[in-house]
Parts: sequence; C-alpha cells; structure tokens
Amino acid sequence: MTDQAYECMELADTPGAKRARLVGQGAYYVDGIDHLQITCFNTATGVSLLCSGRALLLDGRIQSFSFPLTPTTNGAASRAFSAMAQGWILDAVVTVTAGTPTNLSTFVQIQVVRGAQGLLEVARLQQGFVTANIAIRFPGELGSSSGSSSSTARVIVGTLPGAGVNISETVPAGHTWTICAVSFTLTADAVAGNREAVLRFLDSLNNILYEIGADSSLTANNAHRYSYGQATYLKTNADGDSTVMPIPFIRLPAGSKMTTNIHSFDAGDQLTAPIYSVQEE
Amino acid sequence: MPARFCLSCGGRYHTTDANGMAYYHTCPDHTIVSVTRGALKLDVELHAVQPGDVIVSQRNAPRANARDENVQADGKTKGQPIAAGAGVLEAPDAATLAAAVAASPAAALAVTQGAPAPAPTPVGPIGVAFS
Repeated sequence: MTDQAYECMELADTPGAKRARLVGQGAYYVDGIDHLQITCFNTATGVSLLCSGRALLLDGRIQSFSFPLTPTTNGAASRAFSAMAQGWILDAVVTVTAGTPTNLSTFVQIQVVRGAQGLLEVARLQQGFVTANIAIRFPGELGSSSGSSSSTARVIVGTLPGAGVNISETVPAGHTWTICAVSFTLTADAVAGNREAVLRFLDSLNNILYEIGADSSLTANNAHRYSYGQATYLKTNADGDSTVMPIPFIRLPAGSKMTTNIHSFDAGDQLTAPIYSVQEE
Repeated sequence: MPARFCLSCGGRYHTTDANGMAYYHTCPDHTIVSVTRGALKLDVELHAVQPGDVIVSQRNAPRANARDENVQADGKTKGQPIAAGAGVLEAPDAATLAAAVAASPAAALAVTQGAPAPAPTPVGPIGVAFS
C-alpha cells in the first residue's frame, strides 16, 4: 500500500470525512448563528417567491426548510430570511409562486448573513433574474428557459400631460431602452399659430442626441397624430391628419429622456395618447 | 389599475403597465416664453402669456418642484423616489381619480398652471438683448 493510499484511508475514517461524503462539494457550512436570506429587487406586480431547500445537521439528519417573500414593486430591496442550525446547506432554490415577472423585473440573491437580517453578508450563494419558468438555485448554474433573453419588450402608456405641457419620459434607473416606436396626438386650441411637433432624445444632462420635426405645421383647432419608428420615412397620410417619421436605432441609458418640444406651443394645446414601444434591458 | 394625478405637472398616469411592469413618472420641463409686454421684455411660463403679449421665443426649462418617481440607485434610500415634488392624488382606477381631481383645489392649480409659478421675470427694456 502506498503512503498516499494509506493517508486516504486514514482520512476516510474520520467523522469529518464521513460528513464530507454526505455533503458533497457544493454544500456551504453554517455555524448556527448564520441565516439564509433572499433579497429581491422587483418591479412587477403580484409576485411571490418561495425559497426552499435542505440542510444536513451535525447529527446526520437532513432537515428541509422553506420561507416565502412577497417583494415590493418599487425596485427596492425586499428581504426574507431563515435561521439555520449548525451544519451544511445542501441546496436551495428560489421559485416564483405567484405573478408573472418578466425577464428583467425580478432579481434575486441567495445570501448567508450573520447575526440578523441584512446585517452582515458573509456569502453570496447565487443570484439572478427569476420568472415563472426560471428558478435560481444553489449549488449550480443559473436556470434557463426556452425563449429567455436579456431584454424584454415593453409597451408603455406614458403620462397624459396637462394642457400646454410637453410629454417627457425618463429611462428608469438600472435599465437601458432601445426605442422602437413612439406615438402621440397634438390638438391645437383656438389660438392662431403654426405648431411644429418635435421629438427629442436627450442624455441625462439634457444634451440633445437626436431630434426630428414634422414636415408640416399644425394650425389652430386641428389635431394631428405623430408616429415615429425605425425603418420608416417621413410621410403624411392623404387625409393630412397623421404623420410617420423615422428615428434611428438609438439606445438610451438610465436617466436619458425622450421628450416632445412643440414650437409655438399654446397654453391650451393638448398632447394626448402618448404610447411607446421599447426594448428594455 | 391604480391611477395617479401629479400635483406638480398635472399629468395623469397608471403606476403599472398592462403587462404588470412598474411605470415611473417624471415631470416634463416647463415651457418658458420670452415676450414683449408694453415696454418690458419678460420671460413667463406658457400659461401666463397674456393677450397682447408678443412672443419672441420659447424654450424649455426644468420645472420647479418636479416629481421624479425613479428610484434612487445608491442603495441607501430604500426605494424612495428621487423627488416627491408636490405629491400625487391616487385612486384605484381612472374614473375614481377623475372625481378626486375634480374635487381637489391643488389639482385644479396643477391643471391650470402646474406647480406654483414664480412671478414673471423682467429681463430688460425693449432694445436690450436677452436670451
């Protein structure tokens, strides 16, 4: 018998090695004052999560655990945790039990924290976005789902502004928008004047990245629908009540803005029905 | 679907999209108009233009007390809006919100002129260049 084999036999006889064979390589040791915590950053409504798994206790018993979390919808951190007895966390999985979060709306972290909730994170076991079809799990790689991608299509009904107020939208924190289409209606009041609708894209410091105006003006007591999209060209329809205009492939980071700028705007003019199609990442 | 009325800008919106994702309202800029009024040149907000004013130019400027519902991303403020502005009226649906807006003096102010407006700013007599 070689020295190396003998050494292995000795190791195999120790209690620690026996536990190690039970535990496997992926388990995480906790010493009795640690908590398993999940933290969620969520922007979808009606979402509930469940964290469940198994732990190996020092006496060799397997203990299962599970605890729920209903996160807030404002993107702020929501947390739930469970005290863990001394032993090894064998596995843990976070699944969506209610709601239909989209690919980028619900981000979850599985953590080991010491002492109290959120007080001191000592390990990050896994993190990622979850959906109804994608769970995150420890140990292991992130789950995947057919049709999953790193971005999601959104149709956004924008704020209906007050009279004489422009439309303005800001790319939410932590996201990037690719603008696919924009549409709104401008209704002019009875005050004489030639309104010109201009659509602008600005960075967070209000530098203009791109702007496009219509090829015709809007006079008093008239309404006009303005639509913008990629791969189109400027054209007003035969009835003269709507215009399509081109916008480039433009990606806007968080804090960038998309606004209207109506030339010869009057206090009684009204912008209505703002709606956008964006690819959000 | 919850609906809100912004008391800073008079905008109406829903807090979630039809697909369930959150919508974050931000107030648009004011439109500032440079006018000649009698012997004065003034910068006034669009709603404050009076009959007889001669409009020289217009521009956009950040709104005082603007609301920005985007969440602070600094990890310290626990999801508070970047700026609360003058606040909002909120109702479970658009119809209920419309009734609340109709009954609110603050909303009436926001509808007519947005957030409380400063007095017109004289920028110089006629003949003196101003921006």
